[in-house]
Amino acid sequence: MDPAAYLAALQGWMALGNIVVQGGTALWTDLKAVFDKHGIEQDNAALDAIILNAATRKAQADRDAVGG
Amino acid sequence: MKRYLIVMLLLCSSGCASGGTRHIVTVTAATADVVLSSVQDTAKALICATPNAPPPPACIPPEVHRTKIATELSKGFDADGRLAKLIRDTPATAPLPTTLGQLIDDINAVVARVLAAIPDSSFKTTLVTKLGGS
Repeated sequence: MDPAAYLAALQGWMALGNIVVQGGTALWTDLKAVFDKHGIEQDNAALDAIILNAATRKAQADRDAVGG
Repeated sequence: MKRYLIVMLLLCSSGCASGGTRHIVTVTAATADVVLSSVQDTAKALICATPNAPPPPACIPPEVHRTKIATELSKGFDADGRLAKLIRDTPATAPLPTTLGQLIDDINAVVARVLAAIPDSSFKTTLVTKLGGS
């Protein structure tokens, strides 16, 4: 799975996270079973995507901070 | 919104015993990234006199965006990148560094300060709702 697709999948999970927040921990047990199927390679791909996005957006914020 | 990230951290705690901690903090890092990105996009769209921005007092004065919001978001994305790199550099079998929690706190603080700098409006309410806050 490519980083962007995995990040999109994580974001989908995060949307479900709202349900977890509101619905208690029952759903979390089911989600965790799905979670555990992911491997370190997929996590690292997602982390690489986050590192890249954070750097890009920090650069944008720095430009905004000087009025660029 | 802060509750949202805290919940992710609590989920991390509940997953520690099963060895899924690194994966769960990866989701936490992704959450922080999405939250900061949403805040950045929304704040830029609310700058006064930009197309589709609301009229005063709901819009963000350019000087406030430049001196407060952009500066804070720079700090937030810096912490976000360091958080992801910290997890990335930690082997799956190794304990996660304790500085991870501090970085999440830093991101929470940045988001709180940026939200405080955004004038109250339906746009801000929509953003906070989108982030899972109340």
